[in-house]
Amino acid sequence: MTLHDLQSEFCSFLRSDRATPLASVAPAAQRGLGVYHFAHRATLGAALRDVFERTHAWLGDARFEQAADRHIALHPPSSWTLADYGAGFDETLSALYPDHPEVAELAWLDWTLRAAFNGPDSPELDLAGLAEVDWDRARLVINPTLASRPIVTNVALIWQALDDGEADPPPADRLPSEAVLTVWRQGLVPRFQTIEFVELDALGLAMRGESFGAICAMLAKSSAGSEAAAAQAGAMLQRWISEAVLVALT
Amino acid sequence: MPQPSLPRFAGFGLGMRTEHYDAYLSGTAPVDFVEIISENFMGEGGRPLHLLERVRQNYPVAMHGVSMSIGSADGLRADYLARLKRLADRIEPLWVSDHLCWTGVDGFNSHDLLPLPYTREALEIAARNIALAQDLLDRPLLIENPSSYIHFADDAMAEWEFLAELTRRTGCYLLLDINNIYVSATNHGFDPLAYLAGIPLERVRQVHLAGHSAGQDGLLIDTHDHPVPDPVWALYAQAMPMLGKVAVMIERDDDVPPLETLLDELALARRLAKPGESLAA
Repeated sequence: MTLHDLQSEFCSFLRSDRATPLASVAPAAQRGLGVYHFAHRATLGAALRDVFERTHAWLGDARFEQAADRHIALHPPSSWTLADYGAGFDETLSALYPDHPEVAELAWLDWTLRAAFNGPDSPELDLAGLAEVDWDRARLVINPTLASRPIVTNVALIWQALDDGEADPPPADRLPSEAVLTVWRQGLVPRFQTIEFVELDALGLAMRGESFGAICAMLAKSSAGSEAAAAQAGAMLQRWISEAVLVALT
Repeated sequence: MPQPSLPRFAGFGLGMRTEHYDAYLSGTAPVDFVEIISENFMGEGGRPLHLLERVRQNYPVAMHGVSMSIGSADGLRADYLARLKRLADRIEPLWVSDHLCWTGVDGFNSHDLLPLPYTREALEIAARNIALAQDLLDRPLLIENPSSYIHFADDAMAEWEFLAELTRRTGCYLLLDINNIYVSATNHGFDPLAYLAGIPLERVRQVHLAGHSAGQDGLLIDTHDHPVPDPVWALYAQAMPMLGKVAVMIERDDDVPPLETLLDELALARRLAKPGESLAA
């Protein structure tokens, strides 16, 4: 048996439902196989519990473990780092709880906050130089950790209550209209915020290299008037600066 | 490519665990070095790297990895090695270590330290992988003896013979885990002193101490969640006079106690490292 064959067989063993004997292992050492079989699942389960702490709190132990078992069965780990293992857990939960969209939204928020925590660093915006900027032509460099997804529930409130350790987090509730949840890291601290789709469109333009003037033009088309659009653009820009969504200008 | 010889570093250290970050950040923990789990700091940025760079200003740092998979028949992962090199270049560690193990093949990663069959083919592959890693990292590696709970029907040599041959072929150094020797010796029924007699002790640059647990089936499990037990201290006391100047650290990854408790254990490690000392003294 080649080393590759032995290792392939061992990987299949780890992924199987039960610890069954392997001919490649010495007869006297078969009892030790259970240690590896157990440890594999235990490691992945612990990784999910670590990242999805608020999702776990929301679902409770039994439902979270059931979801983790399903995810582990469907998604064998492939990355060199265990830190990547939670990718897609929100989709596993979405399939398990199609009538409870807050569950997948919570998982996405847990996961994306962790990703932002370890995400790329960004420069500090030169505030002193802002007065000299030709805003109409300026291109905005958006924080590289910024991520977003549409949401339909009050997931932000639920997550915050769970993070604060509240015994009675608010019940899941549908938003009046679909919104967008954004996550990014300001300095060393991950943050999140609920925004409207028009702001997501503005961020999208910035990330595609469009000028701030182009962003203002887009806002003008979707606003009640040019004055309202200018006020909206100004407020948006001020918040992006103060919250480090905007990290540089070119 | 031949690697430069690795200078010895004599000292007593602890693992950098989140529970004790404040003491390492302030430089008040009375340790000679700290050891990090490399993978915990191989993200792109953020707080972990920021904190590590501050700790590095206070202490020498040893980088200890769990994901190189030097025994994988599929070879090493270029993306992993590139990130590891970036961290090493940034931190300038005492050294970089990983385990004599494999973690997966065919795109699957178990995230466990899986045992190798000690065969000629596995030796060739592990030696090739170590040599490649040392070339890419531009530094020699320390390879740690693992704990194991099985051994293979086709084993052609003892673990210590396998390690000795790896050091000869690649010029790598050794991280000697005393607890792992004790755990594997108990699980597989070999003499831990035969292990010590069989490895090239002059290649050891670091020693690990840790605790273990008893499994339901009579096996000892390397859990790092207990104090160092007396039999491991006794084996350590026997090993240290043979090793010369080495760095010694205590691994504690679960049920992490207050720093003072680990420092008490480290004080015992310092005492037992002196010639003529014993656990009973």
